[in-house]
Amino acid sequence: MDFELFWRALCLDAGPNHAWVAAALCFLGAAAGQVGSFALLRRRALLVDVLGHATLPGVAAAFLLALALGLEPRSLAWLWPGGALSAALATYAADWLLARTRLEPDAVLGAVLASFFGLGLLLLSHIQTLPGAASAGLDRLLFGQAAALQRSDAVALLALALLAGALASLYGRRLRTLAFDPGFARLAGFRPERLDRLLHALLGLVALAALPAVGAVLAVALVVLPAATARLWSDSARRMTHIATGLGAAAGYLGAALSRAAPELSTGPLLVCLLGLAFAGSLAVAPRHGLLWRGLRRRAALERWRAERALP
Amino acid sequence: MIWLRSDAGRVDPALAQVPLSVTGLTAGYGDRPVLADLDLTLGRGELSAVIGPNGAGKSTLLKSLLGLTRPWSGRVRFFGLPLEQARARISYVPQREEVDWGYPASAREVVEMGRYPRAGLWRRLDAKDRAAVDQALERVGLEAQADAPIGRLSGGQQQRVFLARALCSGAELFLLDEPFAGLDARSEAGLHTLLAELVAEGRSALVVHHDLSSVAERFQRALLLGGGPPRLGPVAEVLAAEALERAYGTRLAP
Repeated sequence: MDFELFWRALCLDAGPNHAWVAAALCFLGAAAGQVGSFALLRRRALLVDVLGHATLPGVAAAFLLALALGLEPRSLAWLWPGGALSAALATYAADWLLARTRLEPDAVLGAVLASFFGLGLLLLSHIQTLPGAASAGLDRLLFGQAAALQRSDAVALLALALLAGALASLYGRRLRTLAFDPGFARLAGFRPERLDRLLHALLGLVALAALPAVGAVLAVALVVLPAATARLWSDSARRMTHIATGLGAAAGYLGAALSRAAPELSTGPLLVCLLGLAFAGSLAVAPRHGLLWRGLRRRAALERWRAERALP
Repeated sequence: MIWLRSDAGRVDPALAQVPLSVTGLTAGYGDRPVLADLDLTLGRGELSAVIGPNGAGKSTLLKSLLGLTRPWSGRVRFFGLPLEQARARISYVPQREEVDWGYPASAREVVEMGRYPRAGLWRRLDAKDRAAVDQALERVGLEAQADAPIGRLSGGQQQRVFLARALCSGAELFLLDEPFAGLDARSEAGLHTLLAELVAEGRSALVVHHDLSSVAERFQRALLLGGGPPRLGPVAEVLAAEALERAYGTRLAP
């Protein structure tokens, strides 16, 4: 790892391409954190894992189709619609299974995730056997490599993240109200079914945007970890959203700089380690929910209690 | 056919002052009817209970009122209007199990939800909203607990928070689902007093209630579901032995 380059990347002094990548990852992290806080409150966090994995067969199929048509196969202009299509198919498959069978949601989501991801891996392994340089770099879609993003891709990613962030900001109050009290939300005219579909769509947008940067496998970390960390620091849903958004943005920015300085490392696992550390640290020291302070508070309370009892 | 559709939204002048009027409501699940030909009128300043054994249709009635299930037939009007046009004048206090108590919010933040429908998508809550929230918290006696996490409040206090939310939304009709369930005697009495005061100020409340033993002292009128034809009437009449026997299918202690 090149520390001087890392420092320059942090100061956005590592080339114009890096500035775009840093902006894209920063806003991707912010959108993922924001949407993630809603998903966590609504208890739908694992859905993004399903959506992320389910993009893969669509992406691989779009790649093959573009190749057959003689187009540039790695362009997000084909890969994204392909991924969106297969993620939407996975959502419909899960809904259908839930409505028609007696399977519990965890079994349905697990089955759908595994089937789609398996199909995706099969297509990817087929692509890797193709002759020529066409297939080079497609494995990035699994774990991500931010530093290798083209500028045009970074701009597209930025736009997608901004769209998700804007929609999430607009509907934040309603999404939070629904998570707390669905009956009240419905009577207030907030239309729970539509809001849930919006949340699914936002998670899908984040999963798609994350695809070229942190990969399909670890998109879930970007959504869940900032929100889970933020929950430890706050007992207010609104503040939790703000903290998760900020944390995601910081992680994205830092991840872009790390990827620039150490391009051989995959960005997805890097970001997961960063966010995992933030979560573990928060679990230890966060004021109200951290284990350290809670332990100390308990001990003090117990001593007070004993002292009171010991009085004659 | 357009004139037919526009007719559906017109205020019935005779009903404009009636918070809730239900005529010929029939509803059920799949092909099993649960409620048939229910007529129900709730006037301004009335506090009425809905009672009946499990499966008699208490929650089906509430769901039909809230638009959660589509009735097979019949008509529900709030202040002479269909639900869609009367939302702002109705508020709902959910059953305890329906709410996520691990949700991170203070009492004040829950009460603020009552202002969200007015604020729409764009507007931030302003000084007027905050004043309404403070006033509602004070009215239910929770100004000291305003910043406590909702999950840490007692059951009675949580119900008061919901009443404050209904109050600051400006609703005139409250629909409450088992608000007294799981409360100790003192909180139950306190909550009932508060509810009775709010209704005496000109609001109305329909309360799904489970505990037969307390219906007589808490409510003037009740709707007994199950057994014979459902009818809203004075509590003494509804609680008459033969009516109860018909509804519950067994003799109950008076």
